[in-house]
Amino acid sequence: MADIDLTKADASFRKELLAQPGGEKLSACFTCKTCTASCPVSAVNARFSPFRIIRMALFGLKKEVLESDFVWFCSSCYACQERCPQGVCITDFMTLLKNMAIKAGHAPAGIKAQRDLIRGQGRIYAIDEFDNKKRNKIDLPSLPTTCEVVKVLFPES
Amino acid sequence: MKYALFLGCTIPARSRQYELSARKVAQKLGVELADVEEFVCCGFPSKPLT
Repeated sequence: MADIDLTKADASFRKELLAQPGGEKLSACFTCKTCTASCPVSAVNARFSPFRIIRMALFGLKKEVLESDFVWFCSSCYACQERCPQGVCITDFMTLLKNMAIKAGHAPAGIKAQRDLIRGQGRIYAIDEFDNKKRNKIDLPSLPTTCEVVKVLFPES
Repeated sequence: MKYALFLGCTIPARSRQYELSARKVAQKLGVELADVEEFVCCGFPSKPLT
């Protein structure tokens, strides 16, 4: 990773994070790196490091954190959160960052594709007439191929 | 006894054998299953990403 230019940091980002679920205890982090040592993703990919993401967030590097792809490497296994001696909700914090990244329009293509699938058909694995035919063959009832109510969850953005 | 059956999206499309056996067992046990049209997605395929 290149040198970090703190003159471009956004000081309000820290306050913004601390005010949201998942970010409340963030300032308790004392950089012991237990999270990174526990992380199965960090073990195979050194680019991903929970403690570094927390540090970057606390320094106010909003753009770097939200636009980076490494936030999306987190597999939500909760190993870091279980072991954090300071009680920082690290996995919940990763979820918060992902939600903020999506709101800022930085979702990876795969996530956008899944969202569009759910918004369109209500399902990630869509059911079509071919599937219903196969279901009927083994005496399973047909299922609807669309779901209108799910669209309420995904306002057009 | 009447229960709502939540299938999600994966089972009815990819793992129909689970649904089939669940329905058969429920029938044997005298459990009536109700299908709810809006029970479509549990978010499982996206779970590790959210």
